[in-house]
Amino acid sequence: MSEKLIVIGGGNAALCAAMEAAKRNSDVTLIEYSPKSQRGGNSKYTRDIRYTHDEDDFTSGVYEPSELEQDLLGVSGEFLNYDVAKMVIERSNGITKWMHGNGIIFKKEIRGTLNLSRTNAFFMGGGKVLVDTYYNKLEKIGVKILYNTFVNGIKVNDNLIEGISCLSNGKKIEIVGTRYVFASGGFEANKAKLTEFWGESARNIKIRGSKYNTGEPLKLLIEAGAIRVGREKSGHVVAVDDRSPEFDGGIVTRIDAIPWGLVFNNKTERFYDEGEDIWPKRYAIWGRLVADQPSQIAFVIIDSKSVGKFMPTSYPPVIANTITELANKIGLDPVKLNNQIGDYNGGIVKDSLDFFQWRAENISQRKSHWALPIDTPPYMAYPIRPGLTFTYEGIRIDATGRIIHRDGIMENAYAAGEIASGNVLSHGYLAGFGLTIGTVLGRLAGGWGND
Amino acid sequence: MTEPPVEINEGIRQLTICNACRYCEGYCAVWEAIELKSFLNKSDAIHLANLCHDCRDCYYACPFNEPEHEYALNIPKALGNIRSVSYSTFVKPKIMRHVLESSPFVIYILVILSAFATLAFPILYYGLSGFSQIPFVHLITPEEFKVITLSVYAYTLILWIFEGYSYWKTIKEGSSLSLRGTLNGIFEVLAHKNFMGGGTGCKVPGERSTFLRAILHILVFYGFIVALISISVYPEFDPLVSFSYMSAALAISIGAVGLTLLHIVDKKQIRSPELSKIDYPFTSLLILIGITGIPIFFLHSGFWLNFDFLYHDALVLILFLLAPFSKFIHPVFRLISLIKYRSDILKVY
Repeated sequence: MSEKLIVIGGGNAALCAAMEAAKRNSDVTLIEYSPKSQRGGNSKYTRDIRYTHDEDDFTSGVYEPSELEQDLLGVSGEFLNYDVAKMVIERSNGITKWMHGNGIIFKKEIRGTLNLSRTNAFFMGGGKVLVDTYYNKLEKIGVKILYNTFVNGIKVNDNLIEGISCLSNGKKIEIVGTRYVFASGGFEANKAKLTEFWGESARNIKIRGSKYNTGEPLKLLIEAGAIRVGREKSGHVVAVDDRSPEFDGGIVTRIDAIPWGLVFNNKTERFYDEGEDIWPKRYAIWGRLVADQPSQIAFVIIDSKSVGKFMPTSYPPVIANTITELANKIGLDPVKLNNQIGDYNGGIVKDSLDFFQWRAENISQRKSHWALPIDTPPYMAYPIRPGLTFTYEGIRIDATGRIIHRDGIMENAYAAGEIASGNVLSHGYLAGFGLTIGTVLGRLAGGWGND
Repeated sequence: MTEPPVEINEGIRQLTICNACRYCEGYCAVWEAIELKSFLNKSDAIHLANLCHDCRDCYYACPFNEPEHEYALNIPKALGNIRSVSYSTFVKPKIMRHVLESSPFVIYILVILSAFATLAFPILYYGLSGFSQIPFVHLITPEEFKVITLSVYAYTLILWIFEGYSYWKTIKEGSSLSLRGTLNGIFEVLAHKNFMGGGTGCKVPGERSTFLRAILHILVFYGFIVALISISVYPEFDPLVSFSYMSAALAISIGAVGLTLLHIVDKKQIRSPELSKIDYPFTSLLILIGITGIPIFFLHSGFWLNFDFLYHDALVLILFLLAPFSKFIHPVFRLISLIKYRSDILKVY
């Protein structure tokens, strides 16, 4: 019997699986929840991939597997599924060659934004071009792509999948294949599900990615007996602008000004050392810190000296000529804010020429680095919220990419991409590594052709 | 200064989102130049808009486009609208903005009137048989030709300089030009670097296009330069000069027809309608200039040659007279912005 591959999901991992299988002349059907215009899941918000490599055309130097492993441990602290993590690291080696062979054009150099030129390769145009390139390729090969199709049932018998049921453009259909790849992402866009873990604060969390990542296939798999991996609340949560859209803000909503300023909650109190964490980890802590504050809101305050030191923002800052005026504009207590900033300015220790070493001591909340006085108007504020990028709780797989069921390995079912990312990372995030997990696990699930 | 036009405020809104994203870095000069600024103002928006060559690479890369996303981005259209506003703002003398904004009317009327005029006047003057027999060098003597062309070139250049200076004062913002920046800017124009999308091409018409538009623009651009050089020896046409003028005219025809067709078949919602209004009359004029320029050197003599020669000259005259108040204003602002961008980059990196 010839192979019939069913791919559930429409992001990078799904597309990689479909491409690998289609190249072997398998009959491939790809099921995407979103309409065509919004296809690609969270992959359309990517821009680079981290992978191990020797000297190559897309990066500025060698990146060894052992170094990547250390970098992963550095952010995550542990491996929940070491076999899979090790396999992903090994198979990431030189993976940009395959991407390039499938039409992805990489940049010659990157400057200005992130200093990742050795470890990561950046592609022209970012994730939307990536997924569109792959979709165009699949259309050319003749892969069947069903948009607006929502998986609402999985039939499992003896740890084999026998079929799935879907709502396709509102019509009920049954799809049967010989192998199934679940590359349907996490559940970050499912506010009801988030509320189970985060409580009422979930209401005030912005979802940076696709609103179609509701995690329905993930839920169905768990109900059918698939083993979970990862912790319920684990994911990548960063500080984003309060004015951002509820979903799909992508990269542009993040607020990068925190180390240069002070952060106050709506009680006009500071709650964490803004200078503690240096890049890249600081992105990953402030979302959670804000999520723990009353009403899940906080305000970053800087003065005009810091303009240009951080990435520009998609919304303009609130601007005022005095601290009092600024406090009134953003709804903080003006007296308290003046006192807090006055105490902070008075407590700064400038015992180095490098202002990275400046710190504010002897105040209720110290600031350990970049303690620049806030004294040069105009003063500026950004209102910030937690912004959830993706969730890590997912499905446990083995090193062949197959899903682990409570009764054993599911021979004909694979998980790839974000739904399986918890096998590799339990928290924290390494820039460009989501795409690595998706590309490696997607290709593995699709058959990893010998090209 | 008065409140900026809505087009500019809308451009600032959209570009501010772009500057927080920067995924389009590498496509063209716009995305290099924008990274030099933390906050964007009116001058920046005008400068960036005139760096845009309308290749659409950024549009197809953008996950925030209208109508699906609430950011409602459409950068090629927003920047096109600003370019259109900037042409009207910096046109000199100011009153001529009405000519620019009425491009379709002005150009098509002049094209038709000049056809009648180049037929009627010589026939009235020489008689029909006289006009058919007279060698064309007698219709316009070499001395007349020299005086007319040189004064028209001077007129166009002077107005372009006034317009360019007024533009430069607005976008300058503390920049100073460097010799290397200027040479780099001129090189980008000659090489059509910003039509290349950082190696990915120019997506007009449609997402799968690559270098067709660049080739067509190169045909018009270099065709025009070769034609100007060839005609400067008038009336000493040896076979090489004749051949080069004819080829140049052919190149202009093919390029201008191609560019017109590209924009007709292309997706309308990605283009500034204000720009299209001044583009089509201009490319139509170029097409006519190209087509009437081809036969001059193989029609040898007779009525049709004389008519074609005069009509062709009249169209070229219209092109130059209208240059400061038509689409032909765009190279001035583009070149100045490219030179500023290259000079700014040299200072930073």
